[in-house]
Amino acid sequence: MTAFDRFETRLPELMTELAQPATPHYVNDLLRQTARTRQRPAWSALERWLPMGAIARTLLPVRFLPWRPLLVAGLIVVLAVAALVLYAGSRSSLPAPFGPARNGSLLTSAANGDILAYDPATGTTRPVLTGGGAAVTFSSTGQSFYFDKTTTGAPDMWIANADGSGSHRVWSGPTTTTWIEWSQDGNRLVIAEHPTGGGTTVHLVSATTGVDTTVALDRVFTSVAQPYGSHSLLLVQEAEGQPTVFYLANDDGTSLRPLAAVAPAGFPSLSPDGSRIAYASWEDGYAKQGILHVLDLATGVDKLVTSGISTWLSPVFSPDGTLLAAQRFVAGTYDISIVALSGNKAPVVLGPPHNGADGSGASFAFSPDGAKVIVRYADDGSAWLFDVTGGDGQPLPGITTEFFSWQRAGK
Amino acid sequence: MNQRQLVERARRGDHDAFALLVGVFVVRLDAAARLILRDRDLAQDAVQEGFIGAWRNLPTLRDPDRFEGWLRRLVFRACIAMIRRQRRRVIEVALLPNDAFPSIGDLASIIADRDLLDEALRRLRPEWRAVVVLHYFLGMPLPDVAEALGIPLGTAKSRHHRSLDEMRSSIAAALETPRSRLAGGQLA
Repeated sequence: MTAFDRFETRLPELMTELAQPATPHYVNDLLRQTARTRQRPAWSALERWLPMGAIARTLLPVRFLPWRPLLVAGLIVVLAVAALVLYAGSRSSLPAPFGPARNGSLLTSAANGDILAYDPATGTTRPVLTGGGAAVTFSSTGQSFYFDKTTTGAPDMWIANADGSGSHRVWSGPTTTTWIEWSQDGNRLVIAEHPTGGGTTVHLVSATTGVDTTVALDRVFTSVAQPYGSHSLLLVQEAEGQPTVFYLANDDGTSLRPLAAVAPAGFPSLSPDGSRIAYASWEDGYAKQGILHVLDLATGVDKLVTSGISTWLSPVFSPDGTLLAAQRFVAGTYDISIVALSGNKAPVVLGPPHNGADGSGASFAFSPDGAKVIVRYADDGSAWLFDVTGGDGQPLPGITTEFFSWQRAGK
Repeated sequence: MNQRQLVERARRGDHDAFALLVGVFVVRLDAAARLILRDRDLAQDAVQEGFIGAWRNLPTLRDPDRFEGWLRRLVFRACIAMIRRQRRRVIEVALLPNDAFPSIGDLASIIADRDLLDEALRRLRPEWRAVVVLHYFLGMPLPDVAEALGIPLGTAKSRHHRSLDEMRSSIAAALETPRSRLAGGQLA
């Protein structure tokens, strides 16, 4: 046990000593203010009055379903469809449902909210959507992107066509929203929020019609995904000090059943084909945090990917599913490194280490063809394009925020 | 009368019941806000904003048993909002009066560790400090910390881990540096 380990065990006591909790002098003034403040009427919040049964789906008893064969069968269907699409659509502009694709347009949200297209080859920037918003993210089809016009902490989600036309609000939600992403088929936004009444409300919002199908679940799930080609929800339950459990449910919330339980984990990331989850272990204790694993959802096999020497966070699969890019923290600095999922290869470090003290890490993503990785560092605001095999990298001055998304394009 | 009953009465407009709830929670929340913001005035503003919001919106809280978590969310999101508003203003004040010495225990060791912690916390970014304070001082699990601060759970985990890394470095460096005691009890 190091000196800091002993210190860490005393943090609660030392913080109490430092803070010297006592009744603050302003309490009476606070109570005078509240006494003068009118309360909101209860009817102004609909959830206050709806009985739990009206808004919480009663879950059926967990039945045994042969989910593994179903998952495998579903993947076979998906692959067959993908093969047909590839064969019949060799001249189509749509990319394959998943896997490597041609690099299309690279969009970025500028600090003023404008959405710009940046060409790494020429270094030129052109406006796509003036006054768009943050968090620009393409769907897997590359046909549209979402962006967030939030100003008050409550998400305000919009969708536009790939060329910036047709932008429209598709969903506005409460400040209790915790997760927003595309379904893997690119047809819906999958949104999770934690209402004050407890549990999780999942919103499946059609990208074309804006119809919001809500699914109320009676437990807290920290992340949600809709795997490609399924009418299912993949749900992750992280609870401190408890095993992290991956669940599958029908997309109406029925038949919720556990797929696998692993030691406490964080940063789950679904592979492009929806068959595996990468995550970082997150057990109690500094030294047990940040070891990468990949869990095969069909077989339940959990594979250790990194050792405990460094701390690894935020793994992301490459388009072909053979690599992970992740943040690696070592001795107060961090870098983005590539880890191969087969063969005993050393990680490939992309670029020099960055200062872990000042920044919030980095935003990073694979290019659609899987040959490159974009990294934008928070500490100095620089953005770079690295080859997955390493090397010096190319600066990308047109990427000025942590928000960027590269379109998957067809041939 | 138990806490649930107090919440139910306050929800119906009983200000005396609300005053009792304030008495239950304000001490720890004020202390936590001071640890996060490191400024008594800012902490007061954030705590008041949280409690006034709680009184105003209490009729809309459906489940009285979730009052504490809901209140914490209001207070600590007010702290985060305060951090963002004050981002260009750097106020670092000592949290302890010079005569706040404990009366028992290994006095020198306690003071030294407390000052190490004070310095280590001071070096953290405020958003990271909030995670550390909520987790260790209030004993909140990281999922609850994430919800209270309005950040993704992964971000809370990352900030927690990296804060410990920073504090480890800060404390290790301090322990290697010879220290002398200045007038007034402050350590160099």
